[in-house]
Amino acid sequence: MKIIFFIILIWVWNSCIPETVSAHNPINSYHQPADTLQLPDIVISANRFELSDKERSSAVQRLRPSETVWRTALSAGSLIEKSSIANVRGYGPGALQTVSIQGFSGSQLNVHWGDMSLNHAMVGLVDLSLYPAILIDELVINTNQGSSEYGAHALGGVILLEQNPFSEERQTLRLEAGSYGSQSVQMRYQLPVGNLRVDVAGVLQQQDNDYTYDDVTSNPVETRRRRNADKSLNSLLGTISYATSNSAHETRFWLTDVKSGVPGNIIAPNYGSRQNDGILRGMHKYSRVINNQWHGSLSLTASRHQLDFFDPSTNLESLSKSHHVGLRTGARYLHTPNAQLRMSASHNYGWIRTSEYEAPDRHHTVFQLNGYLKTSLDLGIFPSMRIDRYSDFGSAVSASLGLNQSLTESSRLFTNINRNFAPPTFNDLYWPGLGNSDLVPEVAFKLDFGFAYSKDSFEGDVQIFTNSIDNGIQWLPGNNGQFRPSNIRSVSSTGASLNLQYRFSVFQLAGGYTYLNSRYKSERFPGDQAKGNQLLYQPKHRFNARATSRINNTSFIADFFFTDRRYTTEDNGLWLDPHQTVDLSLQQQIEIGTYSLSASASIENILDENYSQIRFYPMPGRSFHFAIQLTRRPNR
Amino acid sequence: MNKLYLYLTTCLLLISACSESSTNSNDSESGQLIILNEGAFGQGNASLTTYDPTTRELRQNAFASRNSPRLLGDVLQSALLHDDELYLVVNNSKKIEVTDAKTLTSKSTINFQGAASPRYMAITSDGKGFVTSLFTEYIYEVDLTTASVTDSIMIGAGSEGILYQNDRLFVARNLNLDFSTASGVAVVNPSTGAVESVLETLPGPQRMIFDGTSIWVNNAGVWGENNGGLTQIDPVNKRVAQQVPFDASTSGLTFSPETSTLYVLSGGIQRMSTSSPDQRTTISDRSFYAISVYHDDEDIVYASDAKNFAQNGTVYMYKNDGVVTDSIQVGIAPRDVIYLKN
Repeated sequence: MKIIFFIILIWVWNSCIPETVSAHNPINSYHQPADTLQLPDIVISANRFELSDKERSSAVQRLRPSETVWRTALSAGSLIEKSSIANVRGYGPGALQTVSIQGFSGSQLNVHWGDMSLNHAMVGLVDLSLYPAILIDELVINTNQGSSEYGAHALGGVILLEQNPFSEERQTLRLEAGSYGSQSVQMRYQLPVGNLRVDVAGVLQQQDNDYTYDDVTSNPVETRRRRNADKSLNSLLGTISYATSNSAHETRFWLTDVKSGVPGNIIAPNYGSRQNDGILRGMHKYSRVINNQWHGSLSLTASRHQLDFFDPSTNLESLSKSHHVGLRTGARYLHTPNAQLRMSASHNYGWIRTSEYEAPDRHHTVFQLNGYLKTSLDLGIFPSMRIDRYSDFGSAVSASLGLNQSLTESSRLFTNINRNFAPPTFNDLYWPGLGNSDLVPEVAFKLDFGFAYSKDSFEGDVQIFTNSIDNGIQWLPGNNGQFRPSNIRSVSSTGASLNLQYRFSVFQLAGGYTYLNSRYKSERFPGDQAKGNQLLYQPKHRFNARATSRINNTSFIADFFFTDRRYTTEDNGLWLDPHQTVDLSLQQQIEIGTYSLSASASIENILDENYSQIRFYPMPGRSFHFAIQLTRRPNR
Repeated sequence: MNKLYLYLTTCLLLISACSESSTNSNDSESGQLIILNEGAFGQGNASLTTYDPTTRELRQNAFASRNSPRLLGDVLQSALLHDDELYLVVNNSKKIEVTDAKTLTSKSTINFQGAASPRYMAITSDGKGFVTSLFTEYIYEVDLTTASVTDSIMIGAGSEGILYQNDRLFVARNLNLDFSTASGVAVVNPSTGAVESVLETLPGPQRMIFDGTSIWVNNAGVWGENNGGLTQIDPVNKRVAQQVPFDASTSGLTFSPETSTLYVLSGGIQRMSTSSPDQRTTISDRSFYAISVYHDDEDIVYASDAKNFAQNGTVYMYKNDGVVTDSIQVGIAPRDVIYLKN
């Protein structure tokens, strides 16, 4: 398998492919470092309004792996942890990583790649440790929009894994090595040939993750070393697009093969358990400019995710294969630039084959309407509505209204109210003997207000939010002691977030802070002590800061993160202490003709903080990482 | 409080089977109850709560406070009192914590390897320990002097309760390796390691108690088939005396020797006399995670409400007529209550 993988990579690395000059004009542009890696995008899109960030009723966070990931081979989850105020809950490097925003759980957040949701149908969440950040051009965190734009699971918002357009040929080879047996090879080839764009990137990662921890159960307490979820990941991502003045075809694929240990926590380790994930995703989209007012698109998506868990100690094997095929058609009507309408309809067919249970195939039909109207008072109005119809448990209606009021050239106010939903998962519905076919979708109402300011070298936004989740699905023991899921969870979250960024000379300072008060609204059973308490693993305060300097070809980054106390029991009787970490990174870049060579070194957790994101799943102490990257741009 | 008795479902009978240990003290006024809090699976928050029924003094995290910074581990399944030592069987941590019964300070740790899943323990008259395992077909022999596992005996299924009586080990065969429900009580000669016979039971035998004459086993039944019940075993002749089907599942069993009363968790708390187990009286139709009984002039049933296993539980005290007399907040997923004399 690896050999085939390497052959493919070497093939695309072939520098004998003729050099070409592109006539393609990228539609989005922003500052990119010299060795930024970009994938092509199509020019025409019926799936979004062509508005700048300042014109939208949201303040998104855009994370660009190319600006930071040269420090080490990070997953998408780790990138979010290190670059945003989102709360990442990981079971250690190489293991399951989920993201929680504004008190919503991992299954209450939608992760999108292209026209495809990455949320797993059986469990509802996305394991972000499976997605190498280095393959993603831009990761967008949007907490202001929800299900009426992105569909199921977008209760707390959406994370978009974006790929950006490119206009010049580029070949990149990157090698990394670091502490705890971390090694990574990445290759990428971007080739524009006339109207054709070919972009293929692959990465091979190997992590032993063998680091020390304090065994608080041993007699006496001892410092031990163990493998914390060793991991072998191969991933290949490709995009081929062909665009003319009024139409575009784009084909994307993403293959991932991950083998990892599941050693359990340090209290009850189980070192023999393994999990293998095999993921294949693909999509093809055809977009067309029909006339000056109408744009249309048609896309076909397909995915297959095989998950195989094996515990030799109990001879337990759990094998599942979830499949999906979808067809989506969309249109955008441009009455005037200030009055636009988008509409789409899609049908998805999904089926699960698992060793645990049998589930009926699922048909999922969607109708969606999104509008944009800008008044003469510079007020942008964004009404949206969406209906999701599932063949096995019914319908969900989503709606939202967003407002964006420009105050000055550099400041604006925005607000959004959303009704979002998350469907019951296949496990919730069909787990043998325990699943509950009477479940209905979880519903969340979100309300936020924000102020954004951007002028010269300063950018910032502050937001306050209040959320309410009803019909939340939770597995609780019944009268017979068996856990079953029911729509019993009611949660309210209020809080505020702040993001600031300031550039001066060769320096840049950025920081974020979030305050979260997330609590159960009502008792789920007699004597429930959770009511009024902070939710599990939801810190009240989280803070991150980054200082960056770039002098000539030398870059320096210092990162600081603080996470407040996180409760591990619902009565708030046990908790993880607050922790803070500091990372330092240095990169030197050399330009030689058409080649660019960079070398980087980084120290993570330089203070050697002893901490964990999930109790008894220790995170590594101080670690060192080194990388070299060679980029060839023959047209420069 | 004149007479204090507490009977842990399994441990009491194990204790009574061991001649050197006893909790049947009628004159103690200075004992304390120890609540075994299983903790949430995988969370490593098993704990001990101590409770003085005379003063109502309650102390949480007794093991952690006496052994800081050490923690007890993951899923405290059972405990056995023997020679002033309290053996705490921590299932998902694959270990037995040997503590001083008076101070609860740790003295040693018996670690299990591989797939062993320790559940319950018995100690023979010659001082050998035997431990059942849910996910292997073996029970494990433990050398108590070296705190090590020395041997294993194949009994053909994953096992739950274990009792040492009449020079034999009686082992509840609960779970097959394919996770289907097993049945039968294996009769094991601890000296030779031979399984001499397997006594037929209803499906899913779990916990065992000795009433002075007979061994009683509660059988959970097959999931969803409501075919649990009790099995009475004559340990002298090593045969089944009777089967008592409940037409329901069962999940807990405890015994009061003072009143010769069995208490069973089956759709609530049921009580019955050992002489007429078919005549059951419902004390409470409320669901509980575990029950223990403690005699203080009359039987008091300690019924454990584990709630959702993610927060502290509650132990309710029931008189045998169903009246709740008191309740205490304890640790996560309270399982059993045992009595220790000071």
